[in-house]
Amino acid sequence: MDKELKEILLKVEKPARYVGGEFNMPDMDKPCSTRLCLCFPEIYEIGMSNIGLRILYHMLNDMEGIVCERCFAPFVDMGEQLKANNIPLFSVDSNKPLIDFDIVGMSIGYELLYTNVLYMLDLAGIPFRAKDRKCGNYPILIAGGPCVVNPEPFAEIFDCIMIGEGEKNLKKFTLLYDECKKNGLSKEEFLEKAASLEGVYVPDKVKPITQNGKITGFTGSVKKAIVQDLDKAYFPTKILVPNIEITHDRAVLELYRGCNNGCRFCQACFYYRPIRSRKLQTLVDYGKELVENTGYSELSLSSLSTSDYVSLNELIASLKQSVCNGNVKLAMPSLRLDSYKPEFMGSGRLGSLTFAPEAGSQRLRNVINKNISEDNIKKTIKSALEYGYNGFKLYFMIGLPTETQEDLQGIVDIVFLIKDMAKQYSKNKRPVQITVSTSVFIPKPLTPFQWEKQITQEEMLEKQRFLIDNLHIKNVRYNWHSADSSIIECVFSRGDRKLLDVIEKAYLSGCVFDGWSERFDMDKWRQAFIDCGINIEDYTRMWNEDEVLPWDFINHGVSKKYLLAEKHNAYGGITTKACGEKDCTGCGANKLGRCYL
Amino acid sequence: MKVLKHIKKGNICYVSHIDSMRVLQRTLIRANISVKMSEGFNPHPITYTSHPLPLGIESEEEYFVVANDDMTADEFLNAFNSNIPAGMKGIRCYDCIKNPNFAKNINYCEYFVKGNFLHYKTEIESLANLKSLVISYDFKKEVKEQDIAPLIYSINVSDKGITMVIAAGNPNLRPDRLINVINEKFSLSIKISDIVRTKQLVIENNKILTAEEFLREYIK
Repeated sequence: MDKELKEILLKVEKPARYVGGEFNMPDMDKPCSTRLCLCFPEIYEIGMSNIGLRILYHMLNDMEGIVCERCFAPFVDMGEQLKANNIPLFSVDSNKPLIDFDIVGMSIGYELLYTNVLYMLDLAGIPFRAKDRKCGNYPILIAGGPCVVNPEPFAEIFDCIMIGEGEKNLKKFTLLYDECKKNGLSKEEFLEKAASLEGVYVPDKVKPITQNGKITGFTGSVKKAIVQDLDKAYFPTKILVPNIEITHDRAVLELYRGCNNGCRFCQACFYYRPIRSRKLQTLVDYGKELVENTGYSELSLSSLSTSDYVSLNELIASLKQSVCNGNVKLAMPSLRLDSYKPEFMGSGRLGSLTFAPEAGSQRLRNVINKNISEDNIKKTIKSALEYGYNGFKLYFMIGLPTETQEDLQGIVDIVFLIKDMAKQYSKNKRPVQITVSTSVFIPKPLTPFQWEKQITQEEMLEKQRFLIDNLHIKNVRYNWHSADSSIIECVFSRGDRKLLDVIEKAYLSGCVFDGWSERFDMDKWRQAFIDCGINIEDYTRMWNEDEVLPWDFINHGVSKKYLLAEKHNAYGGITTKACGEKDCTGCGANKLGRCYL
Repeated sequence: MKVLKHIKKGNICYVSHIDSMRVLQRTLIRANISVKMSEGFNPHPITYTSHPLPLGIESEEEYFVVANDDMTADEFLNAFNSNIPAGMKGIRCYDCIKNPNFAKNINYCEYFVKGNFLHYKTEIESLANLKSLVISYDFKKEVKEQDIAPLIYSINVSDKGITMVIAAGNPNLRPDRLINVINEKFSLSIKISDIVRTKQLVIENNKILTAEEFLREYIK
C-alpha cells in the first residue's frame, strides 16, 4: 500500500472497511489469466452481509486461473479523500485500481443504489455509459443482483447484464472471457459471443423499439439462467470472516430459493422461482462446516419464507444436535405468521416477535394473497404470549390496491387485539410493547401488481397521519417509511432507459447513498426529473394491461398471462393456494427448471 | 494460563483495538481452544490483552492472555496460528501459572521510526531531558493540554532511525503525539504509518525489563 493511501486511511471513519485482510481470504497471488472485481454499491458492512456476493466471490476464486476481488462504495468521507488526493477507487483485497481489472461487476439489489453505481464508477475513473467506453482500455462492466428483474434504467451503463443466478451465468461468462482473452479476441468479438450465453443480456444488442416515446417491442429476448439442482450448486463454507462488525455478522445457510406463497406484491417470490431447495443432510453438513470454519456463534437459516422449508423441524433438531452444542445460536428470519412456533426460537432471553400481516383486514389480505386468517393471528399471539414473549413488531403496507379506510382501521384493530389478549394471556407483569411499521406499496415488475398505480404523496401522508393519530397509544410505537423515497423507488423499479439521464443528473447534483434516509434529498431528485423533462407521474400511474412493459423482453419463467390472471383474482378477492409438489398453480416457472420443495 | 506474543502488521493495523479483540476471540472459537469462563452474572471467556495500539501503527510485540490449561504452549501456538488472519500471527507462547497482568505492569513501550534523522540527533534526543513539554490535542471535540515531558523515558537517534521509550497505560503517551512535536519542531513529515511498536517494557527504579523477561517468574 502506498504512503499516501496509508495517511488517508487514518483520516476516515473505520479504515478497516477498505483494506481487507480477513480470515479465509483466498489466494490473491495465484497464477491467473482473468481478474474480476465484484462491487457492491453500499458500504462494506452492508455489502459483506450479502450472501449472493459471498457465494460468487468464493466460487470465482475457486476456479483455476481466475482471481476475484471485492470493492464496496467508500463512505462519503473516504470518497472525498480519494477525490481530493486523486486516488482511483481500488479493490479491498489487494488495493488494486478498479480500472486495472478485466471485468468489473456490480451487484445491484435496490433501486436507491443506482446513484451509488455512478459514484463508484466516477471514483474509479470509468465513464458511465458503455458507448463512451468503446475506445480505451476499460474493464468489461457487468451487473447482476435482484434489480435485474428490470435492468432498463441502468442498462446502458453496462456491457453485459447477468439475468438470473450467477452460479450459472457468471461462471460461464467468466470462462468464456478467459478463453477469448487467451485467444486474443477483441472486446467486441467477446461481447458478440457472450450475447448467446443463457442469462446474459447485452444491452447494446437487445434494445427496445419505440414509437412516439412508447415501447412497442424489442430487438431480441433474454432468458433467465437458473441453477437446476440447488442441492448440488456451489455453496461456500470457508467464507470470509470480517475483522469489523458487519450488519449481519453471522454464518448464513440458504435453505431454498423461490417461495410458494405467491403474495401478490412480492417480487422476490416470483423472481426466484422455480422453487428449489437443498437437502436436509446437505444443510446440516454446510452448517457444521460454516461454524467450524468461521467461529461464528450464530447460524442463520435464510430463505424467503424459512418456515416453509419442508423438513424444518428435523433440520432444527439436527443442527441443534450437531452444530449448536450450547455455543451456537440458531437465527430464523422471515417466519410466516401462520407457521410460527414459539419453540423455534429455543431457549434464552425472549425478545420481541416480528410478524408481517401486511394488511389490516381479512378482505385486503385476500386481495394481496397473504393467506393468513384472523384466527391464525389470534392463535399465534396467544401462544407467543403464553410462551412469554413481551413484544411484537408488526409490519404492514399502506397504499395497496383497493385499500380503504376500513383496512387502515384494521391495523389499529390488530394493535388493540394484542393489547386485549395480553391482559388475558401474558405471563409478564410488564406491559406488552408493540411496534407497528408501515411501508408504502410499490408496484414491482414481475408481480401481479406490476400494472398498479402507486398512491400519491398526499395520500401517503394522509394515511400515515391517520395511523400516527390512531396509534398514539401507551406502549405502542409507530414507524413509517418515507413517502419521498418510496416514490423514487417506484419510478426506478418500473423505469425504462430514459431514466439513466435522471440518475446521472441526480448524482451530479450530489445524490449518493440515497438508501440512507438522512442523505436522501427529494428536492434534488425532483429537479433532476424536471431538468430531463421527465414526469414522475408517468411511472407511478396505473399501467394498461396491453402496454408493452420495459422488462417484457426477459423470460423470467413466470408468465405475464399468469400474473394478469392473478391480478384479476386480486380484484375479485379470490385467493390462490400456496403451490405444492402436486398442486401446481401454473405460474410457468417450471418451464425453466423443475420446481420442487 | 497461556500468554501469547503476537504481531500486528500490514493492513490489519487499521483494525481498531476493540475489533482486534473480537478477531482474537473468534480465533479461539475456530481453533477449538477451550477458555475458562468468568463466574460472574454474565459469564464470559477470561482473556486479557496488552495496551491498545493506536490505529495505523504496526507492532512487533503484542500480548494476548487466555485462561487455558488443557493444552501445551506449542499446541496453543499452532492452533492459534492456523486460525488467525495473516497480520496477527503468534510468535511465541508461554504456559504461565497466572495472569501476568500486563495492563497494570507494563508501563512503557518502545517505538521505532525508520529513517535518517542524524542531522537533528542532539536536538531530538534532548526532548527526553526537558523539564516540561506541553502539547495540546483534540479529544472528543475539546482541546486538551498535556505535559508529556515526564512521560518520555528516552529517545535515541541512530543511523537507522529514532527509537523512543514512552509511557504506556496510565499515564499514557501516544507515540503519534510525540512524533507531531518532532515534526513541528524540526519541520519533518514523519507519518503515523512510519511508527512501529517494537517492545513492551516494565521499568521500575531505572531497572528495565522486557515483557518477556518480566514474564519469567510466571512461567510454569
